[in-house]
Amino acid sequence: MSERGLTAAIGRCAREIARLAGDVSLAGWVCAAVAILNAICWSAITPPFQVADEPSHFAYVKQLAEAHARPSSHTFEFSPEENQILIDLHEEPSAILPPSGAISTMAEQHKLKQDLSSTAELPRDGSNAAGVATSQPPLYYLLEAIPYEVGSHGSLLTRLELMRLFSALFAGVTALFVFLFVREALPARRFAWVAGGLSVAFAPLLASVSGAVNPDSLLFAVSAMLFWAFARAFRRGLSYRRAAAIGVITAAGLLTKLNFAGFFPGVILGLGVLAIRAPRPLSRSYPYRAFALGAGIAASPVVLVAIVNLTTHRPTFGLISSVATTISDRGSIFSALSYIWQAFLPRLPGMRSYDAGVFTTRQIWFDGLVGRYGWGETSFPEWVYAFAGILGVAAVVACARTLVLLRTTVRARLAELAVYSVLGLGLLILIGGASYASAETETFTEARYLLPLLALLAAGLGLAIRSAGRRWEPVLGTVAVLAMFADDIFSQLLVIARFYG
Amino acid sequence: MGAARTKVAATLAIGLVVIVATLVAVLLGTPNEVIATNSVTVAQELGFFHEHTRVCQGGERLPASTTALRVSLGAIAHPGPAVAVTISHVGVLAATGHRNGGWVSSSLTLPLEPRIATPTEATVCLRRGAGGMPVEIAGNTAPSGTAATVNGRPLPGRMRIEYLTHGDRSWLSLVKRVSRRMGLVRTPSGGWIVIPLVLLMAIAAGLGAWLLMREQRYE
Repeated sequence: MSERGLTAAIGRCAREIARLAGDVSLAGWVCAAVAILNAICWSAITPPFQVADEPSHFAYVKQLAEAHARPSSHTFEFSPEENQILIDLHEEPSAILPPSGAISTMAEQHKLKQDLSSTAELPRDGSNAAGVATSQPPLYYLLEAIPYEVGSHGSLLTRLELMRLFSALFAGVTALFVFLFVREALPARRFAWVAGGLSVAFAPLLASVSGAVNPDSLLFAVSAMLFWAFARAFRRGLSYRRAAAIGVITAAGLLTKLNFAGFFPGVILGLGVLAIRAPRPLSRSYPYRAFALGAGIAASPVVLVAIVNLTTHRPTFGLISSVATTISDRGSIFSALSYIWQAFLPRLPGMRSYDAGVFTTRQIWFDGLVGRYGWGETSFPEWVYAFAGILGVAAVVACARTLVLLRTTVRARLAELAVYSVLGLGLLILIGGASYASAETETFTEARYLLPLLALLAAGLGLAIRSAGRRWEPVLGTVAVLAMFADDIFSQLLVIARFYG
Repeated sequence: MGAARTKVAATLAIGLVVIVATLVAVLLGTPNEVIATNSVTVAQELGFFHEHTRVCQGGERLPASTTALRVSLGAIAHPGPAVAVTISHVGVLAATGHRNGGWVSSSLTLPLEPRIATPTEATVCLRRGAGGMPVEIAGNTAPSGTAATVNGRPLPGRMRIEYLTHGDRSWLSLVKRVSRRMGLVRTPSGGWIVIPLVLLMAIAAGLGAWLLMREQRYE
């Protein structure tokens, strides 16, 4: 492409973004601002490197920014600079051993400052080891390299703080697109958009993850964008532009975190359904060309990775191929399905028990969404989860009631709902499958893995609020936002007590 | 339209009052504090706590007023099972405790009933519920004579145990200490960090409340 062509393309792209931004109401921007402020608070509350895997993610960015290469070692032998600061911050003892909190004395602070100065003099040659982050795609880390470079003259903690602040912006993007998704999906009820957007903006788990260096923050944002793009296409029809948008968002998601691959079957199905339903004003092949455009762009990272891996004699789809092989090695497909079922729902008669004594739906996923922080050890008293459980069940019943009341609309939008269901199921199967493939004691399932489905959860909340009828809908919506705000405030106190109490 | 705004305003006011009242109640509460440990540092994995097994560790000195134990048992990868604890002194049961399944942590806190009234040299025994994944036992090496045991067989070392009691200072009285600690790892450091954080959350709450009120114009 010539320079003039490139400039024109960038100009068109900028105009398109400006047009879309102009289409967002003030309420959407307020939801985004609240989410960013919340995530910034969490970034300051959580001690450095005390969010799951943050040392690994930091090491990945360091390697990209300093060595201009991806890390290749899965070990935890990070750079001398990072290792020294992790020791000074008691990262290991706080994370793995009985809680000891963050540093607490001036002597420890003095030692930390000394080491921050001395390690800043060390050669900046990256960190080839990035632990659990090594196998992840690079998009988030490339973006995080920007604040890393901006703070490159500062200490390691300065760089980390800038990276966390940058990450907090993705919480805003997530809340904004959740608002936009609910607006497209439930156009008749304006208050549902606001309640959904604000509830997500105050969601403590979203803020705690987005307030740290973690690719999940971008994953949540891209996932919310994907749901919005589908809702928009289902409401307004498939065009080249909308198909390309779905493709670009999917490609960005696949380049952000492997978990996004769970959405891929749903994306292809969604584009297919949109193509079949599309009116054919210009030509019969127009929708199919739009489908090919979207699917082609979406699949481009997968094809690229497959080609690179095949030429370097590695598993075709990298870690996902390895997981699939491990699943087939561990037993029959039925045992894998049974495990995946039990990872999310109570065991059915005839199924082998994988989590005896643990009600995964509640104890892992629901309680985790209400709030478990750090390495899972920072949690509320049991009665809080029980109380939240009552509210959760009430919300599910209310949502179901609205769906029954709106059955005519539901029937008319069945294909759209099926696509959202396949998107969600794909993610759940990927999470459960990855857990099944791991060695039994190494599985580590966390509620944050469900946050790519925030858009659906917010829409569910919108439907639940609607069950109250026009008269009481504002009250119920306000109660939902207040409940989320309360969860956020008390979660912050919980983490403060854990690390600084 | 006006009625809807009034309802939202009333809901917001009631909700915020409830949140503030709960906040005050939490801040007036007293946190548990560690009054002693068995001085074992956690340096390695000692083994696994499987179902239908009993882990015991003798030679533990429980200080007076102990109300809970924190043991270096890890269920990081998967929710842990229900665990019961018994504290016995020369064969006589001094206290018991229980924790339901579903905990996720690198250490397990077990409340004791009754509280330990006088310093007691005791054996701590843990028994876990059926099913679920093995729980990691962590600690440090010790001679087999003093090591923890699983069903009577010695492990390579001893677990770390911390003894907790209800503190006598409220969270409110600890605010200064907590804010000083929050400021320690910052650049620039200082307890001032708490003020902008409170302001940021207040702005976020204000924006949220304003938006909820504003939206009633369109309903």
